[in-house]
Amino acid sequence: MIDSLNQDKYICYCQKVKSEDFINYIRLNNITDFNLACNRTGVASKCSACLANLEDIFILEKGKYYKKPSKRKIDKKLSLMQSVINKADMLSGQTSFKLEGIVPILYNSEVSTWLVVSNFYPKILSKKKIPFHLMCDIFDSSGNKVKTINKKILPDSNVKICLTDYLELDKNKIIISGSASIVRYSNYMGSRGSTRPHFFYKTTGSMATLHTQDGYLKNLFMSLANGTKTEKKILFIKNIGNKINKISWKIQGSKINIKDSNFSDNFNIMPNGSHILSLPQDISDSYHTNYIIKSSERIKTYLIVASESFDSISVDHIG
Amino acid sequence: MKYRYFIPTIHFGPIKGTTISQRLPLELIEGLIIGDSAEFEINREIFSNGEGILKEKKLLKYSKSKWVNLEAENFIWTNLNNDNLCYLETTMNVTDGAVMHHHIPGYYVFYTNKLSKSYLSCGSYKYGNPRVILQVAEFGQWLDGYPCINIDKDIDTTYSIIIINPYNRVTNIEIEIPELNISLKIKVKPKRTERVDFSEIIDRNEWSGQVYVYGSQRAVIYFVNHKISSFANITTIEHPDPFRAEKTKLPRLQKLRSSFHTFLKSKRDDN
Repeated sequence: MIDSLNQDKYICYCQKVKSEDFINYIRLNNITDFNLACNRTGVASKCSACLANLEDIFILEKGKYYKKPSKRKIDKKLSLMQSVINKADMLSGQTSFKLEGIVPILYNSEVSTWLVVSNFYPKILSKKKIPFHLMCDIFDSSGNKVKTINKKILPDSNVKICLTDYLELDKNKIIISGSASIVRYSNYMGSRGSTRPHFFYKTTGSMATLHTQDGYLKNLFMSLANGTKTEKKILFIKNIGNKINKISWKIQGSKINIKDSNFSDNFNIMPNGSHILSLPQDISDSYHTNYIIKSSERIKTYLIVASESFDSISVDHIG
Repeated sequence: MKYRYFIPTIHFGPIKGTTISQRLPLELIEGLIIGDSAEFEINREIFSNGEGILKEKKLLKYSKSKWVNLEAENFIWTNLNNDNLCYLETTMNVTDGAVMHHHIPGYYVFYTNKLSKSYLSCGSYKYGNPRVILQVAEFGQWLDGYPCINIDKDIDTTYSIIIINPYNRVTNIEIEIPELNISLKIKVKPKRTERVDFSEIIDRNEWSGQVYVYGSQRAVIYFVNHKISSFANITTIEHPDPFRAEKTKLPRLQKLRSSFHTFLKSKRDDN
């Protein structure tokens, strides 16, 4: 925290107040009230985003938990450490920041999954436009790669791809899964912007969007509110590992018999494959159902909530 | 660092006929408590039309590494008769003991009703968002957006933007749709929630694209996918995607440090 504070030009950019000005004011006026310090210096009165950082400074300076450190000592220690890191960073050269994510594909004859990557800019940033690159690998539920897409997204444009166009439709299944691995980066220097890849499910009654995300886990605990009896709660699971993934799940703390296969089960997912797990609600609890999911390899999970006929589908990150 | 509070979180309030269900992530909060005991005061307040319409205070105890009174964990409230939009502000102060971080771990609230499917939403920190600090430093203002607003009048679906002003000052924000050259200025009074339906400002039968929202003072923003014919029939509520001021390039050594950190974190999480 102190590390980042010292790199910033101002502690409050709205009011153009430097951290040393804030510290000096507290010291000179012997201020012991945080709100008073903010009111008198004018910090955190506009966007208020800096409040947490200001509080860190205030606690370091006046807090009762720590022996007050000498600012000179902190500055000296940090400046030496920071200058070594800065030097090493400079010598190492630069590389593009790659934003990665997974798209949980869901489809049937009336549901399709669309990927959208935008590179539009607001008018207040008209001079800082750069192109981005998109790499997208599409996998079927068994983990077979069916398509690789590479696109350049020019400023003031976007890319929309119907991912399910590349996957086979099985009319015997109510709903089918697949997945796409996304990488978005730019070879040009600029702001990362608002071009995080998003996706949406187009149904006969909704088009709900979500951003892609990475971050993987092996164990998942979920406590979900019980909804209408007809709605479907589905856990989308992608196997991130390169071995067969052994998954087990159960409802936790239920009064129902969890040996019943409707309330606990085991299954396998192939490498890069995906699975949609239909989650039953614990009818013995009127508010929540708790689920425990364990896997032998890492997984990426999304929670899908759908109406009975799949005409309204939402998706959220979980875990 | 030791802290005596978590930064307040803001959630969109339930619309009339809907129940909001909040379960605090105690299993994650437990990991932030310094020592084996602590006491928390949890304040939940619903604001609508500039006024607090519901206030609830509960005490939560953690003693000898166990939660004692779990009834404070849940907050369940049904909006039976309030036609106005509202929001929920949750504060969690440590009245005894301390925690090692002031950002509460992320969690969802659930919205359920008898007529349509449930949906969920994550909260937004009332202040202390590092991305906003970087935005103000780089661009001189707060700048949020959403790259995929969808409208399709044939299937009766649209998006609305929800603007929550949980602060004590009036906020003036601008909504911009660059592709269509549309911009709209909105003033939101303190402790109020406003909504703009994109199907009413975009004169197209079908459209998907980028929206930006910005201003000198931040507001809490959500985007809601719902039926054009009924705002009560909601499919999803999502948070915006901030316009990131961070650079597209970074030092190779920094990337190496970051990869090593991710590797260590994944090993810890696996165990």
